[in-house]
Amino acid sequence: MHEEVESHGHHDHHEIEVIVFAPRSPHPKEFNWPKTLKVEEAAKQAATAFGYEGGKPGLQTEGHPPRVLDNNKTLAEEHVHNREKLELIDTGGGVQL
Amino acid sequence: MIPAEQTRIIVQHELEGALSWAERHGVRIDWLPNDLGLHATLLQPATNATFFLRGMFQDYRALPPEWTFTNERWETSGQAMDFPEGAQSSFGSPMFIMHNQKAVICAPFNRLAYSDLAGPHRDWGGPANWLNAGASQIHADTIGDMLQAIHRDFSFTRSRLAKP
Repeated sequence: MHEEVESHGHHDHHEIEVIVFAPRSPHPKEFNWPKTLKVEEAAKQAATAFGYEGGKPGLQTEGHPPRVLDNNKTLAEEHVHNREKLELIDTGGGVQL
Repeated sequence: MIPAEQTRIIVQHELEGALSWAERHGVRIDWLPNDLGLHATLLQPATNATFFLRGMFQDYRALPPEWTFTNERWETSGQAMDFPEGAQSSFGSPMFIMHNQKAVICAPFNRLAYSDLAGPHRDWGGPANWLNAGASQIHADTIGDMLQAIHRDFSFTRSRLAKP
């Protein structure tokens, strides 16, 4: 898979291709992001692409249980790899009375 | 306020994303168009216990759905024994709480969280303001996003709010 992406020249070695799912859409979207991009910024870009307005977007891994990525770290620091599948989530806090 | 057929069209459209989400997360969803009801069966990771989440969609999207956990026959509402016990997470306070002896999913996208329906919040401008309410809190404005939000906090729970 990695070779296929490189052979098509979709990104350079400083970028990764990430597949993002969103709870509101039946279809994922693919993004080419620099490895140095903050998770928060990547999540915002994905949220905008899926039509989200407001909220505090974040990203989590595909596993069971999923791991929520730290919005303050970069994709590389969170070990996001090429062609990884992530899910868009809202990281807003719970409700306090 | 909203004709049932219009609500059905809106829900059917949003279900496309919600069903894909459910498949990714191993959650069973059943849509009951005649009742405007949605049933979601959740498995608590820590205990393997089954929880029954029901959404009722009358007047959706003018008003948010009524979300509650029920018994296995999908009949009850607000019984502590049907609810997961809220657990602290990195996201802050859990959304599963007790209010006036009733269990509530306390989120702006739940009609039952508003004081108009005996819920705790009179500070969100009423359920018709749900898309703008609680701006600093968790945000979900489609069925898939609501399920994801509830499932997010649910996944941290380890017990029930009360013993059966």
